[in-house]
Amino acid sequence: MAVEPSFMEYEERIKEGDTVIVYVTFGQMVPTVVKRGQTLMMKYGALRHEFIIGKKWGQRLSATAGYVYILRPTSDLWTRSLPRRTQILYTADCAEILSLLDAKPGMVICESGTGSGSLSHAIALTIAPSGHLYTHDIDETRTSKVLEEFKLHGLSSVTTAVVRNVCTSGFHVENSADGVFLDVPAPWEAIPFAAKSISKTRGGRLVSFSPCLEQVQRACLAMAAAGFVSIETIELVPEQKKIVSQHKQTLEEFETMGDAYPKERKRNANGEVVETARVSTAIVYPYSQPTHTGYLTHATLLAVPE
Amino acid sequence: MEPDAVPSTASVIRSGEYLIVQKPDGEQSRVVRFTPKQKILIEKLKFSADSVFGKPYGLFEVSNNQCTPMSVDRLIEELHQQEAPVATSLGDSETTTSEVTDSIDPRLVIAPSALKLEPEQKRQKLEMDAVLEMKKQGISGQELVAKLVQGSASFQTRTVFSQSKYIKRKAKKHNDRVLILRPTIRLLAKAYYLKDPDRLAMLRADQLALMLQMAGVHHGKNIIVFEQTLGLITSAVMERLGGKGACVHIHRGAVAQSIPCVHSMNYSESTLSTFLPVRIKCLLAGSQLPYDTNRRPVNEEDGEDNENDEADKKNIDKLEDQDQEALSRRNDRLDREKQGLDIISEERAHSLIIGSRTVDPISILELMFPKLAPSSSIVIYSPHQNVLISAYEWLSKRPAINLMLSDQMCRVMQVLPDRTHPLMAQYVAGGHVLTGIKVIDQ
Repeated sequence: MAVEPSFMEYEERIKEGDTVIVYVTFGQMVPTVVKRGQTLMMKYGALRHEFIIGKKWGQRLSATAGYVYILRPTSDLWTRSLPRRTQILYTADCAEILSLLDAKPGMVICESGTGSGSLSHAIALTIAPSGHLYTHDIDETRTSKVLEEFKLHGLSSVTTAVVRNVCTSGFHVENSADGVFLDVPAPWEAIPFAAKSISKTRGGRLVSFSPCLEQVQRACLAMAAAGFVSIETIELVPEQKKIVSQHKQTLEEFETMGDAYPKERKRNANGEVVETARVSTAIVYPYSQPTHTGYLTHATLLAVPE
Repeated sequence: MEPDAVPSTASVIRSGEYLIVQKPDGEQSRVVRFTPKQKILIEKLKFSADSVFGKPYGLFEVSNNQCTPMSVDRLIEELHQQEAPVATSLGDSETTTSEVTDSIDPRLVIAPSALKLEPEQKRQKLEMDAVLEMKKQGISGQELVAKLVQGSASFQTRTVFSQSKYIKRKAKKHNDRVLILRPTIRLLAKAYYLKDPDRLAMLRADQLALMLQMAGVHHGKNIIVFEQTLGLITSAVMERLGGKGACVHIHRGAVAQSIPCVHSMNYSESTLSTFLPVRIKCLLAGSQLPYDTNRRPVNEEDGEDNENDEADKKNIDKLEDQDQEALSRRNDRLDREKQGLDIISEERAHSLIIGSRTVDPISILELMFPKLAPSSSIVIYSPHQNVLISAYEWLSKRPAINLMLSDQMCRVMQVLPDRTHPLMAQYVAGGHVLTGIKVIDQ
């Protein structure tokens, strides 16, 4: 029986207690902790956990009404499948935030709020095994839930979750962080505290996520007033694509059959099978996609020489 | 192995170090190796490298080619001064200020200067020679801007917003401050991208960030990297591994070349230990090949190669002379290559990252896809969408799921009270990212 199964262990086969991501269909993934005697219910029917244990990661398994794949959890798969308790940060934003924080193993990062822990997981996995994440939220149910998840995922030793309003009480640690991330309604209130929590001798990075420009304007002024430099605001808009066959009709074909797509294989006048030439191309899909999540404002606090 | 500790004491600039140089609010960003007697040039500002050695990283003020550390507190003080209305702090302009502060929205007032149509030269009384002379005498950027404002004929007739814009523009031009920072992946990505996006296969920092996250790069992972992006992807992977795991770097020729982004990060031994360069030749041959001691390594492409590479090449030439140091370097390379090849052949790689500029990703997939551990991530970047469409079709015929092709827009905003909007023009060149997961399809 595994003691502390982890997002950061790389056994070839699945053990009891491991968190697995059950890939049902594109866009439908279910995270679950493997436990003998339990059964997973999803679109393709039931799958007994007994069948998962001992299998290789990435294995296709038959459920009662179809098949699924058992995937090793990653930060991105967790973000796509986690139980949502709040609005969450998606992979494109999480990735950019990690980069703007200059996150790497060994770093101390403060985050507020915790929310559903999507970014918290991304940060914890990046700063492990020697760094530390302090995540703050005003709602106790959120911090306790994310602590539970950290424990299941083997991230307890690199994380601390605190119930605290950073806008009024500041961060759990002072003069020790390498980076601070803010996703709060009034970031300008938390910015002076963020400056305090950053290590004076090392300096650090600040990233603030705000959906509204009004918040961004006030945050930028507060950052400059707190001594941050290289303040910049960016906007990131991802676009998903789909690969489709491109249909190219001649004017004659259009005249005879209209814009009905010609079949891939058809018979000509002599009864011979003719394959229509097709070219693959990419189109924007889904047709409706998020066009705004939030603005990311980032800045540097320089080290203060002793 | 200990991951990199964040250095807490060694916070002064040493000679021979790679550094990022940029003006605050500047447009350029440069990666420079600071050596004694060197002159550093950034956006018309020049200073000697010697003047920063032994000083902490951060903000400097340049005067007579010398850098003096500058406290951020002064920036904060200046900010407080600016908070007073722009026009009143710079002399008698009651007419303009009263005009705009009295209930009329300043955005709606047409600047009278725009209607006068004076010839450009007459608007500034201060001659260029006089400006240059003052600069020689070491006038500060701020003082100079104040003089330019005094000399400007049109300044008093401008609206408040227009005045503030004028001051900002002049302040930017005559800024005598410079940021000298320790390189980070984010800063390197920006510096090389701004210098020549094409050499970096148009890989933008935000897309690099996405690739690392999609590949799930973190401590302890084994990542195979093929890239044509100046070592940027390799370097970013190495940093995220933090001393444990492997970055198997596939390269042409005998020695990994054209990877300045790996060399300029000043990495510790621990981080460098995860760098496992593997020759393409060995992958094609299916086994590790001995070094060809009588031949020079293939290298026609780059004039701007790193000094370390130069040294490596020379060492290979010297092998005939049984140079001990070269021999040990070669053995180290062979040892690292063996480790890398073992990870591939034993199917222990957790991710494959391809950052292609000219190489067809399919030719890499053909060799590497069968060798990936199941459930591993595949991330392919290319500036050309059609290349990724072909790779998508290749992967869709194999046990790979969750295939996604994406693109993203990243734009910088101008943020000023009541004047916030995206920048009018910016670098937008970029590419596309294809991701997927390898599985076992019974």
